[in-house]
Amino acid sequence: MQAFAGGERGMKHTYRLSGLKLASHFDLPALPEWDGPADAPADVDCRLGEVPSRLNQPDYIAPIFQTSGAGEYLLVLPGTGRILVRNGNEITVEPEAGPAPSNLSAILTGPIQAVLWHQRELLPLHASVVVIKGRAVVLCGNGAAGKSTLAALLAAQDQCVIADDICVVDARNNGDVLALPGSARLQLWRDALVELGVATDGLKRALEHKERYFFDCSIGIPFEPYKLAAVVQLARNALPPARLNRLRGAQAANALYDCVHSPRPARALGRAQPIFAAFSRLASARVGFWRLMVPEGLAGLREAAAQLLVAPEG
Amino acid sequence: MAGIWWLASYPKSGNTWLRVALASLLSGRPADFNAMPLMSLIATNRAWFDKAIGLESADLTIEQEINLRPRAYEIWSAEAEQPLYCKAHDAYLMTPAGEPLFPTAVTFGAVYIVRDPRAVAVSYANHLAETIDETIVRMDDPARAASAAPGRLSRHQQPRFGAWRDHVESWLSAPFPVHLVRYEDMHRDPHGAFTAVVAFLGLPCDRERITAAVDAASFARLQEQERATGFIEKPRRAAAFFREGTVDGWRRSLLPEQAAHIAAAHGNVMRRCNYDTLLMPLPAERGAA
Repeated sequence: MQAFAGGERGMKHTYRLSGLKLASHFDLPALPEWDGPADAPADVDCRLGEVPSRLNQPDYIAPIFQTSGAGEYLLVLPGTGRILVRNGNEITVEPEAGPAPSNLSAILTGPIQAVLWHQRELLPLHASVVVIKGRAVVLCGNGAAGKSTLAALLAAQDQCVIADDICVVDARNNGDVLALPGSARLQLWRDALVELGVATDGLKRALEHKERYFFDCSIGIPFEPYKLAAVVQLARNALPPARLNRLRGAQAANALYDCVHSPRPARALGRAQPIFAAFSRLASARVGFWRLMVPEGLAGLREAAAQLLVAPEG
Repeated sequence: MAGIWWLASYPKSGNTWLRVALASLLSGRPADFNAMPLMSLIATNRAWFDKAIGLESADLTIEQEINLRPRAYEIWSAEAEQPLYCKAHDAYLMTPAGEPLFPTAVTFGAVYIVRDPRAVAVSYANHLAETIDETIVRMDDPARAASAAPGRLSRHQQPRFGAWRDHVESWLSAPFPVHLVRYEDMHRDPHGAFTAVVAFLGLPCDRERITAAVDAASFARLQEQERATGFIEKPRRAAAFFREGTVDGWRRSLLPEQAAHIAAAHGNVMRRCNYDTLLMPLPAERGAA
């Protein structure tokens, strides 16, 4: 058994997590460094510690995770370790014995971060976000749909990327629906970087065992929530041209539900009804829902980027 | 609980033909192969895996992914309201954790489509835009998986094929009902071959609907649709997905030594599937490798 540090000892990393301060035992290079007051207390702790193999009274048991109420989520992932997330402010990690897991950082900043936001009653979307004409446009879609590559293409045309992989949406109030800036550090696969003409030499890997790299496309974005203007769902088109179609009604609702990050843990944590209600909030705040049909390859994504830049607002 | 019918084959063996025919039968109209809601499920579908497991497979190691795939299939089955039809290009194999990749408890059975490996070699080489010799080596490799491609994220997880002979044998010895259908029989007598598949799956054998479904899946129609709308499953490097669709086209494309190599490597299984290993390429029309 490893010796675990207690309290704040060893929490040498601090990060900005969409406006929150995260103190961590672990290097989490996907996240921007904390740039607020140094003496600000941490909102979220991510610490090394002992984690049980099961929860005391789980009310949802999936193959690799369990939940208890809205406040406890336990991930048991052979080859990586056990991770307990509690009350939206406490992450405890017991890595598997042996060589350091190659994907712990990616798991913490991806699905574990999403669970944390679900517990905090915000809406994490599996999406990149680009600010076009001053308004936040969410780019969502399944894995390999081209979200991050499209964001990189838009960044190359002077649009501002404010989030990659996770977009945190605040739809709790009756005012505007807001997208909270996350990280402008895109995670791109080697083939996408090659097609974009970016050498991978000197880029830091986002995963040790796969050729996924961090690619900074804007430095030091200010923390400023943006009004959410549109949710754009990327889908594959077999042939050119790229097409942007407005979605309404059930199609729009499905587009939103499809892009919720970690939907199964969200349901287990009792978030199904609030997510349903969030759609109504987005619709009444006049957030537009679109499907962007993207032909294969970089040429298709370039067409898609051009469509987004000339699209009508809303 | 529903369950899963696996529509299994080595690549380029007629799986899409079968799924288009089944989709047309079940929906009662000619299927659009870019939108077949009842037949779009693929065992290596990354998005479906991610939604079932609650993690992003892109973050997992290859071993973690394959060890969790049986759990994903159990969830797909548990949450389905009707039988699932799922395309599979993996061999029927054990995961590194030591359990069947395709769990028996949620499996109704499998339709296994086999095609003469000499024809597969020609078709697959075109599909992968590689030489026939490279494809022959690929089909002979017991550890062969789809290209690992660590530098790109595919919409699919990495299927594990193994050698062609092992692929066929693994499915034919799976511990659940398996209906073997030969590509060549689907070509020669599509109505009869498809009727047998429909009966095996326990679907109504309505003659008119079966005829309409077979017509909807004719190779000429599939080629025509690909020309008109493209096919989302076509690899970027391949000129076309539906290329020739013949039974003995390999005799104009393979060299004698290539045909002999395939027969030597896979002969036992070829004979078991009623392929004549002594049949040779046509000398006069033979093309370059």
